[in-house]
Amino acid sequence: MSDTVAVWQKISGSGALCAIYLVAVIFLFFHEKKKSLRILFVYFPLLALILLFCPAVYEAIVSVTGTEVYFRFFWMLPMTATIAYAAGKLYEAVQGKYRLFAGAVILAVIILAGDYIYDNGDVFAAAENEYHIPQAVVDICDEIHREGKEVVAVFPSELLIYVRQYDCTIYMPYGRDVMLMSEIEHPLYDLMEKTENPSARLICELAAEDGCAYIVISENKEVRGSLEQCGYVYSQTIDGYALYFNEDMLIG
Amino acid sequence: MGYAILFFWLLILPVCVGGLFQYYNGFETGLRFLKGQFLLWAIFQLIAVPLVLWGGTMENVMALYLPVSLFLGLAGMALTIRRGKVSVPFITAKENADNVFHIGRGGRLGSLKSLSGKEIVLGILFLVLWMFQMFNVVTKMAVDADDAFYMTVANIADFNGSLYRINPYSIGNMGLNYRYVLAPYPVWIAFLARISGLHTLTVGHIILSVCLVSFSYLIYWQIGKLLFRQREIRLWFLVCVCVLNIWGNTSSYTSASFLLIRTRQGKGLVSGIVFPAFVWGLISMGKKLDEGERCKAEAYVLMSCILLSGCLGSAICGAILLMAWAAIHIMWAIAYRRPVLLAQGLLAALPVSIFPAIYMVMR
Repeated sequence: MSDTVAVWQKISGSGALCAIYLVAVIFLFFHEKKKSLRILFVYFPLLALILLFCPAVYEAIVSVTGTEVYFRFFWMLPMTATIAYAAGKLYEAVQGKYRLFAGAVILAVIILAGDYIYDNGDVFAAAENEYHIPQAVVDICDEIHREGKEVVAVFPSELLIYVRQYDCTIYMPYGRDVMLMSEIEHPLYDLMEKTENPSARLICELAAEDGCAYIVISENKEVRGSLEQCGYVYSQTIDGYALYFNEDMLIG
Repeated sequence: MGYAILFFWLLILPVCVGGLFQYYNGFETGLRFLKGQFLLWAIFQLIAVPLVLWGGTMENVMALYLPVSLFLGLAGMALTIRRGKVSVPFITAKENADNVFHIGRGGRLGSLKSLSGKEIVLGILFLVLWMFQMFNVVTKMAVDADDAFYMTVANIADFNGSLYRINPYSIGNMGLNYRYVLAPYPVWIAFLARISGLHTLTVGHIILSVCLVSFSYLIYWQIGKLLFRQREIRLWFLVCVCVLNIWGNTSSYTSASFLLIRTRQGKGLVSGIVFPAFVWGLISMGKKLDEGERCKAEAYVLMSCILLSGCLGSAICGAILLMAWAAIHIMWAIAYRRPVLLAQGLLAALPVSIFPAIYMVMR
């Protein structure tokens, strides 16, 4: 039961909108007369909630799907439609000049209970181009792209997730899978991201082992020694990232 | 040119394909679009998954899906003209005063003149909220690390035709992952990129986000039409949905969050489009049952298409939709004392149940 409650808390956040949903379900239980709508908006969600909070059902489902997607089962609950429908019935019940005022009150309750999506700084940033990825990735990939050849390049973690979305002919020795899964180890990733003042020689050796033609590194990143002494030649700095190139590593 | 091609493919073609469905009066553009788009997605699911499993390429997908879709569009328009609903496509049509999307003599202007003061206020409020979302979709970058998989798979499919065989994260090949190959939504994005010549990122982040968020509101408008008789209340319903979406980020797992942040991913399609359409379909069918009538076969075909579209977005969500479908039909069979509903629901679910079955086998 605690696992399912944890999932519910993960989905519901502050819980205010979920509380409004449950109020809407109760409202419709008392005020909805049509059988089909009672089934869809009241009985089915109540049955779904009982089953989804049942530990035996939880165990059966996660044995197949894993725990990380259990929250999607709660999408069965038609929350948006239910709240909007209940709000519509309330609005309809108010007659005359007070109707718009009642509507404004209902909207204010929803707004206060909810969370404004566009002020989420972790998710939204100003688009820098038509691809909706950092311009630095576009500029660097355009620079290192070789027509008809595959390029392997190591990128800093903040650019990692975007590179192959933009240019799939650019490969990387490690990607987001290394960041996600602790069981996947990569010495070059550990060196680049988890080591303070990593050795330039070691970076170059590991990058060369992985066939990297380019090392892309933030100009603010401090390394011991110079990458240029280790077979890689400084090419240029683009958008705050220094590019080091080893022509011998180009494939094709 | 690419934008014009996508305008045709995402807006015109579904309306044409929607003509294959008989289940409406007049030329309700919105309803036709809804039905046509779900049929196109269902067809794509049925074509793409076998190709992915059997080592097919993007070229195979194009060779099959492109002509089938165009044929369905032509067939839909031919049926529409034959039924006399349209003499010249999109120019003259039977009027349907109940539907603000109708095209006809008098057209939108005739509808607009009949709006009351409150309807105008609510209509403008909805338009402002919708345009606000469109502005944010175009001008803001929504960061989600899962794009490293989905958008890269789309990019690879578009660039060299490989379907789920190349590691999207780093380098080398990738074995078929049962969780992803049964939901080839990224391949659909690659298809759109191929026919338009635009980058998959532009298609996914901008074009699809604009279209699918708008499509979501079209679905809720259709839901509102079924739930409320008065246009004013329907508009109010739509405004509530807008506000619930914009202020729905109580966690990153809500359907609103997935719709407005991750539209280009299959999960966004399912949470923001397919589940609402599923609800719309159930309300529509339930209305028939309340009136003591039988649901026509076309309704079940359409629901099959909606369920298949859910599988296109996410293999697990396809199974979830099937569970909900089964539960609702059991409740209907008991409530209306019509056991035949179970058989009808099962028949509609059969083509869809293949995918969860493959999932269980591959797991």
